Amino acid sequence: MKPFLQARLDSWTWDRFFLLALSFIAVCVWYFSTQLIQPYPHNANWFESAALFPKLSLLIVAVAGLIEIYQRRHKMASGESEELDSSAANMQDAISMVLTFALYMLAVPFLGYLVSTLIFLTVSCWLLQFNLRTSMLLAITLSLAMWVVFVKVLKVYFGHAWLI
Amino acid sequence: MGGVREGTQGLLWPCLVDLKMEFIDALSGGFSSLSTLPIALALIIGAALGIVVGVLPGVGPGVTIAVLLPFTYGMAPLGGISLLLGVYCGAFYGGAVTSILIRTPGEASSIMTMFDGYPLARQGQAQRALSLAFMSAFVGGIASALLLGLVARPMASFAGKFGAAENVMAILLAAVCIGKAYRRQFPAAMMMMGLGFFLATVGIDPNSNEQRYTFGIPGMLSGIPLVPVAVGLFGMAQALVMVSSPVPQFDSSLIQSAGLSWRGFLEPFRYPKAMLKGLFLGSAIGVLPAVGAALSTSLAYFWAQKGAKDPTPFGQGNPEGIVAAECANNSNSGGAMITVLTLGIPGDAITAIIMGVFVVHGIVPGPSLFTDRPEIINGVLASLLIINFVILGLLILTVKPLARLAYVNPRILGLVILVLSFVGSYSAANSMYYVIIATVFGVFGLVCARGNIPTIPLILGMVMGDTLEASLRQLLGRSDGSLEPFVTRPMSLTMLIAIVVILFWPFFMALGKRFQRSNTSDPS
Repeated sequence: MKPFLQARLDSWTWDRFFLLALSFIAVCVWYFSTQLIQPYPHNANWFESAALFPKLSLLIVAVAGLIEIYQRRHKMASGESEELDSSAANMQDAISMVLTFALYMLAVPFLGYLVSTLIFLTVSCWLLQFNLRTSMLLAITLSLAMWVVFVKVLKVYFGHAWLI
Repeated sequence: MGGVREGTQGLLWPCLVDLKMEFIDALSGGFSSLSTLPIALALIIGAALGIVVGVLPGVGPGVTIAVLLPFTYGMAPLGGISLLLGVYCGAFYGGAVTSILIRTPGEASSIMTMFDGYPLARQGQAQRALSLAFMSAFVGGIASALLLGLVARPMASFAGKFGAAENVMAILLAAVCIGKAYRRQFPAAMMMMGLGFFLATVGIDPNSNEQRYTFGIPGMLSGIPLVPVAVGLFGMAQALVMVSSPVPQFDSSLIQSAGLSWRGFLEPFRYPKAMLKGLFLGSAIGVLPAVGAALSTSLAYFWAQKGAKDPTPFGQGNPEGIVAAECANNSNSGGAMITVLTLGIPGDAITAIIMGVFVVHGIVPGPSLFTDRPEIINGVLASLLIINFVILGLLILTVKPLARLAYVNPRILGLVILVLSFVGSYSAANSMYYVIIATVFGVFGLVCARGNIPTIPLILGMVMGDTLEASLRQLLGRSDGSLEPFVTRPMSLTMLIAIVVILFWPFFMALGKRFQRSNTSDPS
């Protein structure tokens, strides 16, 4: 039994684990709804309860997720819809960009919008291996343009920061 | 017999006259709503942006509309809607440019245009191919706007009779249709739809004031806002894919030959059959939730092959292929707006985000909109008509330099979208909480795209979730928890039957096949 289970799990692709995790989270949230809805309407009729609809939605997530996991034992054909196609994307590059973006998000309240954007664009251009001229041109013109349009013209307020 | 015909004509004629008068009134009202400078500017900028994003590699109308959505907050509702409609329609036209010149469809719905447009361009007839595509798209756009004007009002008065039971069933029917559009990924689409429904419930419950799934985070008391979710799923996820994908290589020799020919502009009218096939399929499929323009263009293309007038084989530069595909492509816009305006049900991700403009301004799309805010309805109709003229005018003036946009490095565009996503999500509420939500959903969108899990149903679920819950609770509250109203009301029952049939269609088909097989194998 154990080798059979092992073999089954070995054949699982990461997306099936991801779906399983989503279904599991949905079941957990469903189960702990009494604590996650405050105050929980214990005395309300089932059809008047604020928990009815979210619980039904979570049930759909869990059940549909499990069916999808079962169905994915065959290779999934990519959809013909307008969904995003990331088949050619390099995930390492994508992860490094996400991390850079997260740092950018943290930097804006401290360094100010203009300086943070300038640094973010410079670092991103370096990560994406643009040549120096393109990097400088893009980082300086784009950050200045964004700052003028959004901070000066549209008056988007990013809070007080050490720099601009 | 003649008396009966006269009687029918006698009844029908005043109805048609009324409809025509109503339509003309609506149109003139719409034009006057659009006559302010900010709204007219928004329309022109939207149209220009739409064409540009249609041509730019990797950037679609979904990304642009998601990123632009926060900036419509400060605009008049009609200005915001016109801006986004401009992008929506403009991208349909722009997508044809890259399909024809570099064999790279700007949009999924432009793939069919590529099959005959590119061979024509290779034969030295790029200008003819572009003119054919633009004029066909123009005819499709105008026809779909007229259809919207003629059909929306009667449909809204019909939908006005809907009660809570019908609303619930209409949304469930739309949800099932959306799921079925993903074919073998039906469970994954339903899972995402369920997640969208759930996310719509987070925050303070408007009926009982209970805090639902807020985890004690103050920002979540007002719920998970649609804007940063849309920016994350469509803007950031797309940008992350663009910056991490290799730069596509293409044969750019034909870009220099971009242009238009007047003869090519008139040519689509020589193929009325192909045009009508495209118009019919585009409008009909546009009304169906989530099916999208891509399917309508492929169906129209294959239908046009039957009984084609031009002897050139399809796939080798037959003009009828371009005419049918582009007519179908652009006639989707009006069809997709019909369900948004009359039922409050978006047809696809883009119309779901456009619906966000209504929601942000406290406007509830649906039948009541026709009586409460007729200027919005009339404005949308007039916008759709004018946008097509503006786009065609802009294309005539700029097609040559526009085609050069195909050279832009998608990695640079990805960076620009990332920076715009940041400021877009932040400026929606001047809050970093919105940027965090956008980032979380951006990463989620990227992971889902990598795992071939659809994300569009999540947005559609979020948009429809509020109405579904409100209608369901209203119905159950009135009936003391009984589900009887779903089967006792004829319209609701009809939709319920439709849901069951759609859900169990594969089983019915399998049963039918088995029955047929057993009949043929049993000679007695």
